[in-house]
Amino acid sequence: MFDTLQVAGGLASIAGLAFSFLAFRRAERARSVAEQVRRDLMVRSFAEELALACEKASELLDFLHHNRFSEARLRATELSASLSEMPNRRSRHASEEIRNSLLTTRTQVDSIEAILGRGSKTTLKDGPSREFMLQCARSVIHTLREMLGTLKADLD
Amino acid sequence: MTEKIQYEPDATDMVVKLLEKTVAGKIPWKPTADNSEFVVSLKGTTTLRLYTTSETGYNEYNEREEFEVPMLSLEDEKGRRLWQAGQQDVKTPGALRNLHKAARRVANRVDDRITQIVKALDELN
Repeated sequence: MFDTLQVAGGLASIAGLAFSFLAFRRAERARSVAEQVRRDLMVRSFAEELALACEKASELLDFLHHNRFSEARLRATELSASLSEMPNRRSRHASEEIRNSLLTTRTQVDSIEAILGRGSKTTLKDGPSREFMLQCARSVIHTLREMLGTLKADLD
Repeated sequence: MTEKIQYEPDATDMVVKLLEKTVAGKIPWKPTADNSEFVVSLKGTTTLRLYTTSETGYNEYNEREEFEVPMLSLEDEKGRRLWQAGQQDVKTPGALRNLHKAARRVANRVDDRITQIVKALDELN
């Protein structure tokens, strides 16, 4: 009788250990899935922010095309602010390449803002700087779109 | 007593390496709204800016003339200029000017465009 109880106890311990191991494996898997979902959400929200920045950059280009320099300056200021925020808020999820691109595009947008701040409407409209601002704004849009594409590919 | 800083950082090594990597197409210089200014960020925190300033000198006829001279500056992530160097700070003659020219080529994707045009010309009968 005592031996039977001892064997049953031993078996119960082994079963308990096996269950604990399975529970641990499940918890690990759940943790990893939760981590992946969280990461995807962060990347998605980063992508949404970048998409907004792309829209602002497109509006900036459009305003420059139509010689609406005060609106263009406002957009440039907004875009520069978003591009300054992003690398700091998303640094954990942004690769060095993305942080470099964000910093470079912000510097490009700042250069547009500086020219818009210096010139009057007449000098901007007829001067050569308009063409360089347009070229720079196009380069900003391309870089932002490329980054957005990379992030979306990562999500897919 | 404070110690005097005796030496400026040597720009030569950086400029020569930047030139090598730029020519190899590894530095993605970008244009700015200023025709002669090009920027690139590295390590996610530092921006390099290549630009030109006007200097007055004498030409081969010994006449006073204004020259555009290239400059390289280093900025932090907040856009503060931390350091700048001109050709006089670079021991390799012409390196900074060549870097500026190469950066212009990369930023304006001149090589790509030339390749495309040559290809288009080859396709013509």
